Amino acid sequence: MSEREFQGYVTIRQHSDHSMFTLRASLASSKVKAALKTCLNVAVPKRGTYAQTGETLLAWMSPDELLIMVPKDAGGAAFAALEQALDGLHYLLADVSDARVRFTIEGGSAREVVAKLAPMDASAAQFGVGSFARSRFAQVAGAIFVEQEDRLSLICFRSVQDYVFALLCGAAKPGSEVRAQS
Amino acid sequence: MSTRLASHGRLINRARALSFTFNGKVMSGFEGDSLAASLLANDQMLMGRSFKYHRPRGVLASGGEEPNALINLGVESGFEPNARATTTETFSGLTAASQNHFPSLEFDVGAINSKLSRFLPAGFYYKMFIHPRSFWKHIYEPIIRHSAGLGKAPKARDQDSYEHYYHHCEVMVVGGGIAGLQAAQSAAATGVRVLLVEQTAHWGGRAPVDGVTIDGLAAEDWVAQTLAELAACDNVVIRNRTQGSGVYDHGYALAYERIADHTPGDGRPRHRLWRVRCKQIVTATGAIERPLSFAGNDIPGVMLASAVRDYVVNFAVSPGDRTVVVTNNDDAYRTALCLLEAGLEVPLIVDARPEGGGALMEAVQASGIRVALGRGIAKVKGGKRVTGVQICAQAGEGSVLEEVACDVVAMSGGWSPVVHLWSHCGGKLIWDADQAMFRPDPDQPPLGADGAGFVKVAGLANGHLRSAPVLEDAAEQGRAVGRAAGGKVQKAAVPAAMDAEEVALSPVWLMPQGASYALRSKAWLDFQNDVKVSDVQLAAQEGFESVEHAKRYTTLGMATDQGKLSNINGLAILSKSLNAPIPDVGTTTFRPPYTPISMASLAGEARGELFQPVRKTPMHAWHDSHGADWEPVGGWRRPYAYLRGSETVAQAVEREVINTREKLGFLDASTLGKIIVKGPDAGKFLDMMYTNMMSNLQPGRCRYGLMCSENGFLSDDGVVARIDEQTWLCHTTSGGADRIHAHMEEWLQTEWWDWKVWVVNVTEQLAQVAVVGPNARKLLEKLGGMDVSAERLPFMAWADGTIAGIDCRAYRISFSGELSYEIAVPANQGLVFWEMLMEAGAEFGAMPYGTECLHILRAEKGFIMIGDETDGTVIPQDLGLSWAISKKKDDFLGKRAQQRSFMDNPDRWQLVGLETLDGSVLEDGAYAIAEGSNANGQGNTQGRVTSTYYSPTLGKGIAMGLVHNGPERMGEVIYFTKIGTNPVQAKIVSPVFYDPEGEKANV
Amino acid sequence: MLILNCPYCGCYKDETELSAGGEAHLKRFGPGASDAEFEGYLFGRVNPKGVHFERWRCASGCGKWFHAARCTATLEVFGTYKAQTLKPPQAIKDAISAKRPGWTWRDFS
Repeated sequence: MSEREFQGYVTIRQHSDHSMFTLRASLASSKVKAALKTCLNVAVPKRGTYAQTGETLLAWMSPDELLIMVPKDAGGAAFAALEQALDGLHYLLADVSDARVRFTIEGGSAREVVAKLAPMDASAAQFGVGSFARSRFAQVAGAIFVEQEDRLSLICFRSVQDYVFALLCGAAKPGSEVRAQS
Repeated sequence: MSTRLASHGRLINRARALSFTFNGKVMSGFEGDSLAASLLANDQMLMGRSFKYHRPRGVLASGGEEPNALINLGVESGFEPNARATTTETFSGLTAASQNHFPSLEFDVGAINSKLSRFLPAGFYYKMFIHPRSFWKHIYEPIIRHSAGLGKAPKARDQDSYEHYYHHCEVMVVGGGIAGLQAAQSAAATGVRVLLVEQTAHWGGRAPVDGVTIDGLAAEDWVAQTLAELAACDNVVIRNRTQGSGVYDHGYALAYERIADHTPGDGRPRHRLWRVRCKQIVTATGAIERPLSFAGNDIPGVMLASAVRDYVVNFAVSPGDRTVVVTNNDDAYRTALCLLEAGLEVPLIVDARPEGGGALMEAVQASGIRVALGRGIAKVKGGKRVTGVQICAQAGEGSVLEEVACDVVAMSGGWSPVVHLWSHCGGKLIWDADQAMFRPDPDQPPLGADGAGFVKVAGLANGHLRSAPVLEDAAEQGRAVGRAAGGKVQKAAVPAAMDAEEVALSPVWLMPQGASYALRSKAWLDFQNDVKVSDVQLAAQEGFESVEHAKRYTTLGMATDQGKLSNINGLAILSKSLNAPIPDVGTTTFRPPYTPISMASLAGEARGELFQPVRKTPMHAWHDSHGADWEPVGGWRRPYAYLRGSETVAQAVEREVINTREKLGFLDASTLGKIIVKGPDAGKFLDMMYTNMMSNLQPGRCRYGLMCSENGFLSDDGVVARIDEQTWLCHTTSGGADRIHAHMEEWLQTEWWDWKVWVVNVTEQLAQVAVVGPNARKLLEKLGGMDVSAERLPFMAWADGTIAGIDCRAYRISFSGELSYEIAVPANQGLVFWEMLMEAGAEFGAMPYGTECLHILRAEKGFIMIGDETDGTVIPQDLGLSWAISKKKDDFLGKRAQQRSFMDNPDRWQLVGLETLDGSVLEDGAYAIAEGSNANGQGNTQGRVTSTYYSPTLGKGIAMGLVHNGPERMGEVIYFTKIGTNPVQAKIVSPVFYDPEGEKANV
Repeated sequence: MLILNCPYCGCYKDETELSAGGEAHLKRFGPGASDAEFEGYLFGRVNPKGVHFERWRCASGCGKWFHAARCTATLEVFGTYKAQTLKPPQAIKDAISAKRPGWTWRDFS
């Protein structure tokens, strides 16, 4: 997967340093929580957030879906360990590393760039560090989370990565600053 | 003549002169000018021609309500028609041209219409062009089309960029006059997030022009101070050049920011559409002055009184040397005072009120200006410019008492609150008889998600015409919305505004009140669409009593200005004609946007390559560089065929078909949907989803399955593979992955939520390649890594393994009738895998093939395609697929529907193969002709073509179609329609044209 | 353009992030049902002016289906609730009764 970068009034960068898994299971289940804690040492996040230990992230996709991000070199082992730990429970674990693409939006106006594309309220007050949300970015679905005050990550489907990259570059074009964060 | 004054001009920067052109003539203006101001400063009063009669028209107003001064702006890729000169900021290099005339603005042959106006009354088109009907298409329509429309449509692609911005706040304030500023300040003081927008480049609205003082400061200074205070607030966003253009449900509003209209080419987006979501809205949108209806009120030089003083005070532009003011209220006297102060002449003030006005009138009289009370204008004299007015008694019928020479008439018929935004989402109005205006009814506001009102109106827009109550009202509304939006109200003093005392206006809807027909037919209501008092009266007389009907019959208020000046005057005339009170006649509906906004701003970023997301497979770039002729399929782009050299598409398709049948072909099948279904109840669930049984499929095996809607109609198909005891992988059609995934989730969430089943769509995780043809196995064996023999991987089986070191899952399935493997690999390795296949396959004659080849291969085999053989009205039984409908299952989606009497019935159109007697290719969608005709006189039909191709394998046209009782009629010859020629004979045959025994795939 | 609170995400979603799914609380009729029952299930929809129960999906968000009780005349939303139920929760019915006393909708009131 290509790694692209665009220097606008924020910086857009494509990343492929994580393996990503989709876990379908009841997130309320203590056994599921325990399996995740054992394998990944990360707690199940509350809705609207993600949880992180080191470079491993668990993100709340729905009451019964997690997005798991594990450093690429640890991906295979983590997947196998999870399969083993969840064995016997009602779950579905799928590798979606190749199906998804992550972009970071970095800079003081990162939220503003998001606000050009998504109807969600991406202001610092409503969407602080640690927040995770799924929304619509122009015409495609995506997920977004706040890593740092000036660094947001956007995850989209691989087939529309060119579209999303072009969207982000357009929104970050110098001269199009809105400066309307309140 | 109109000219630039040496004094005044609060908005212009005389140090920065700008050069621009109008109709090719070089003119100069100043920074801060509106284009209308610049044109007037260059003595260009004539700015356009009216729509119907091509009457010469000058600028009438100074803001967004302007009906006349519409111009073409820019050239080629920067061209824009119908720009209002009053709201266009002059910039250096601006190119403007007037519209709707031939050959020139000064001399327009279309103006003959004006002479014929007696023959072009209201509803003329409806009456005249209806008979004879046959004339409509070839004679009337082309003529009307030629003469219709004001500006020209742009021809070049727009050079600029546009964007959206989603803004969330608690309170939005629309309007940057003193009311909007005060409301924003009061709301911001409660601690909530506030957005304040102003449509012009300047803040303060009318107050600085009208000499208001606030807390002892000149309005201009108070505005600057308040603006600075607001700018310093963390919770306030302020934007000028941004129009609150529409209010919609649940606190949604659109604001239209004109970022770079005045700085073209600076790299910024031209317009930005703010998609605002807020809890409360204050509309402080001011009021618009009404024209008066007297004969000749459209002659260039007749202007709104407020506009005349705007041009003087704001832009240092004198519209003319001698101005007659005509009014029914006190406010217009301000114009006289302003002109006097600028050293211009006001020979007469015509006040329709017998008693006249108050303090302002006295001030004017003290300056020695004559005021004629109880008088009106009988008629304005002049052609392309006012030369004088004839004065009459307002109470009379228009006998001329005197004539006064002048070159400007400043008219004022009172003020109408701008209630548009209040009304957009359902706010109701009340008629305020004392002030002769519709104003918002605070008891019937637009309702939000919680059922409470979410819009409040402040200041002039709320019917407060004096400055002190404007500020009091604005502070109160600001506090109220802050509180309603969750803020905390703190006590604060309201600034005290001072302005001149005024006495009441007297409504004047026609001048003089008993004007003759001749005068009424020259008294304009709608200046842009040429609707006169006589037209509205005619509409009423002809029975168009509803205001909505009268509007459409006369076109009153239907021009680009949407009747901002004409609505109230027009409905007052209508009400008088109907002898009904004004509130009973009511207003037409106010709809967003407030003024026209650019289509491009609505599109935002969705243009060019971003018009629509194009989904790309991992091998997309390879296809693109290898001659792919693209076809859109369910959001994806798929190669229709790969063109080589000078091949035509048809030749490429033919080559691909023959090569795949004889040697080896590769299809990028990555777009096929792949959905994992897992859980203890997954088998039970799939038995409900599919018409066939999936629970008894053995691990390691595949089965072709059909999905129906609850209506029984075929919705999707694909091969299902059983992975393990609890896991199935369902293939869907290329366009169907997201839909079928959602369909499964819907049933699991809303019907069988107690079933233990999880579903994940892994379509994009995998790249999939169909390796097809007699040499398929040879190639895979050459690459090595897994056993792909008929023994280890028989037809309709699958296996996991590696091929040339790449992890894969191979399915022995065939949609072509050939020996075929569909091989799935991780998407990131799709391109590598594909290139490896191409390279290793060269010795076996490998070629990629596209979707048209895929279609021909499947059609030769009689395989159906969802979307070709199905159209949402076809059940599996129609397609000879009864074998795929389980008889053992009690239930599946669609089963009950297929038991309905007209479904469970052999007397239907059913799938057959079709072979033309002459070998030609039938037309797609062609109908089979039956005897007789139906009740509408149309020929009866007995079937239609669903798929039709030239078969390179068989060397003739083949088709599939649905024919009435078709399978019973093998060998029968029937006729199919062919556009523009005689029907074509075709024989009903089996839909399986090629290898009916299926020997080629099963080797 | 509406906003609705997704009971799974716990936050307001814009109408463009949602997809509408028609009338809520339909009872499925399958094989064995009479023609009239099946017709009612497939095609019989109420279209009231006033209180209505609808299905919505958090399409760009969590993907879950939920129900909304709202007034089709004023667009007032009385509440949203998860779809895994055969009838509106009492709290929703109370919220409607507070605003529209005496309301009825199909078998609910």
